[in-house]
Amino acid sequence: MMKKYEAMAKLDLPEDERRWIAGLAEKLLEGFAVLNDINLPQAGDAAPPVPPTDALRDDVAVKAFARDDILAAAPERYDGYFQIPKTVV
Amino acid sequence: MKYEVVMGLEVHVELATESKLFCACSAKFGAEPNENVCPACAGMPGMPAVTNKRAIELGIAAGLVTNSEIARVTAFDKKNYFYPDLPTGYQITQLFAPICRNGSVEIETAAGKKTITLKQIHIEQDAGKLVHDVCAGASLADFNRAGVPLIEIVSNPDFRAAEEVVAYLEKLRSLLSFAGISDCKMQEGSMRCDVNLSVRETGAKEYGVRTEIKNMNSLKAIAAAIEFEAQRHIGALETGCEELVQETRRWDDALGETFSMRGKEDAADYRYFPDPEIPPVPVGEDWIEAVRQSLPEPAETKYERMTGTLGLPETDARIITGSKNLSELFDKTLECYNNPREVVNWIIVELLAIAKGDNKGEDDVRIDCEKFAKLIELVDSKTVNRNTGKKILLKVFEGGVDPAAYVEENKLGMVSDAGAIDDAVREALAENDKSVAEYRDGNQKVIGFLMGQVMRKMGGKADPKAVSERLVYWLGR
Amino acid sequence: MIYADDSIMRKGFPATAGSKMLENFIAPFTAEVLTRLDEPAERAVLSEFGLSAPGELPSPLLCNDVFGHVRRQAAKQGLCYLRPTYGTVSRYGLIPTACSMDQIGVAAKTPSEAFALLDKIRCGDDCRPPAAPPRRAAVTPPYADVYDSVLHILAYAEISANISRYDGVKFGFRAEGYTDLDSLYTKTRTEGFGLEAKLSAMMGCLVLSREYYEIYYEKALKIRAAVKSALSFDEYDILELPVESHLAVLCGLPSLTVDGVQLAADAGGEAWLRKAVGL
Repeated sequence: MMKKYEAMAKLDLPEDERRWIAGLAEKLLEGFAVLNDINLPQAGDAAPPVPPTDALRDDVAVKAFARDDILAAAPERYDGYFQIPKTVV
Repeated sequence: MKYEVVMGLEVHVELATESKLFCACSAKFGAEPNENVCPACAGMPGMPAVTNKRAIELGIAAGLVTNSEIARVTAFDKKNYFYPDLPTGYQITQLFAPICRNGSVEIETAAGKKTITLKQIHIEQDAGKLVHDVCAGASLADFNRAGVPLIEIVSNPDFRAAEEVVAYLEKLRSLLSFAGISDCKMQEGSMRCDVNLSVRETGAKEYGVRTEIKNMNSLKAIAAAIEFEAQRHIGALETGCEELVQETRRWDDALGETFSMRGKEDAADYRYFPDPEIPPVPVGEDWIEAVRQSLPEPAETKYERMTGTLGLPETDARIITGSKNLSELFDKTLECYNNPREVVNWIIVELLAIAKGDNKGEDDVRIDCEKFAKLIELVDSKTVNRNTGKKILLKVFEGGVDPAAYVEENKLGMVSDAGAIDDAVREALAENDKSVAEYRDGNQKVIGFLMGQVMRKMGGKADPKAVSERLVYWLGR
Repeated sequence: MIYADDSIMRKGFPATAGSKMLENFIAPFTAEVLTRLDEPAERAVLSEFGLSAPGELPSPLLCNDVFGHVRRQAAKQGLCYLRPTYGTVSRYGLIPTACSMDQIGVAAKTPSEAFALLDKIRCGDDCRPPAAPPRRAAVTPPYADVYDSVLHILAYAEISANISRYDGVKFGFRAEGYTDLDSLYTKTRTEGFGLEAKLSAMMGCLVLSREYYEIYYEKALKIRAAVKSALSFDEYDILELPVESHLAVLCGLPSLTVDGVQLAADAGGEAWLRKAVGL
């Protein structure tokens, strides 16, 4: 069952890790089942994970980082770009 | 068998902000690759997202110009997928509480008026750009566009013909560019459109199999793609030799065909969830009202004003209101010289002709409106004649010369002294008695020749109307 | 000497968050909290993205603690751990674990040392300190039985999204021997993440998937909201909780773990916590 989520998470686990995770996942899901027993007082909308705020940023463009500093972290780069294996044939 | 094509549109429009949606990098088009990129744009951890207020405001504005309901509280969600143009592995978008719902846009085609209803408008981050032809064997990622704010305008499946789609896109472009929400340039990718299309037998209630067509970058391409795809569906329904599947198809403009985009199937689970970092944004009545107040006059209202109180011809009003730039130019020039008919004439007949010579069109012709107005006034008051006026306009257009000072310096002022005109007319008549005789024999045409003679004597600076009057007067003697 | 967990970035220095994924990552800017200190902090590597129990904690230590691993380890070592109200210490420069619960706190030898350090790093001041001694209560907060599941569901979801950025394309570790883009992603993530990170990524995908979103993630969000609204500090100022309780993390409350108990106050109520330990 976890195979699907392994692929979704872009992982390809060795068999021992797969077993370890499957075992833990099973236990976790058993624990998660308690949520089913909870009846909430009102079936309203899910509250946001963080409360609303009107503290927004003014629309001002600022250049605070040099391109070369950002690109320096790239495993592979080419002429100002991040380089990756060809995505189209 | 009769078939009906059913279409819904997803239109992506880049918002005209200075900075990106959640960081302060420039949102401007055309920079060197990865120049407008900060650690957050490159997917690096540690820079919390802070929402750009202007982007929300432009989203509200988009709701106002499309008669949409605007959310009391709008919130952002994460959409998860891996692709190298998406540096964080998720796109921040709006699924659960989009900024607008239930809007409508009026369109007009040869078949008449129609209302297109909108499901919703949401704000989201644009993705970066992948380049495949610069480095052999590799693809390259440029994140300048990553994080630039977009709105996606999602219509209901209300379209039945390509003309409706084109009319709708033109209408959206006018509404959005007038309100300063986006510059809506399809070529630069600031306006993009995906078409969801299905075909059913006329009168059927159920929809047919739906395909989504992407990658059209002009109205022409959109119309052609719809035509192709509709025919493909009809062919499949009639002959049964091709099975239609729900999929995304890519339009190839050079080949004039759509192709299945295998690998990017619709089965993907994007695992949407409310963004756990970005606080929802309350949108109060007063904020909406302030945005409403700040909106410029919409094209429709301006058109009505131009053809109504200003008494201008419909064709002229269409041309002016077809472009935000021309509309602004018209308003500003009119502010300096209040003669709508002349201002419109000078823009449409003269200014656009000059601009065309400079490879500029309605949207990018620029001129100093104050000087432009002065020039129109100089011609209107007969200080210079129209021909001289055109020449000065070129100078204003090219070098921003001051028309009044230019006329003064070059002694181009028109002679409106009746005595001087009379002298020149009498001289010309005396020198051309043959033509005078022809005129008196009934050949009205020679008056043109005589006009030319008088104008030449006056160095082209006479008011043609006055010359013509005096010529007729003296010829009649 | 002040220590900072390796998920708190200092410009020009490595910031790994304990992950092989970031073993060669040099911080491009400095975390807000570090700029508020008088001296540069020493790097301390606790665990990968804070997902598992750390070893012996140095002190005083600035670190994020979503799962309670640090809180429990501090209690074990006889240290205290002070977690301020959510959002009162800047997250700028903190490598995220689970954004809605990420909050830099302080592990220290004494509450007075912890509060002194908090005063340096946080934005804004305490609310007005109470005149009377705080009223303490040891009641069980609403839905206490499910906090562990709710916290894990929410945290896994958020972590799975937060660690999607580690894919070998832009920075950090990239595996060798890939043949195409997809194998670059998969090999990099399989070799670069530890077991707990892999578990989190997969469990996050599960709780957010079409099949389970409603029964797990959405339900957990609703329960958290219900806890927040049911919780009232009308009849007491300080809630005495077990060290293990996730209440404060879930609801963004300030809490002080000291002498084997976790004291929690209402959001913004750090002054009550001070008073509760006689400061």
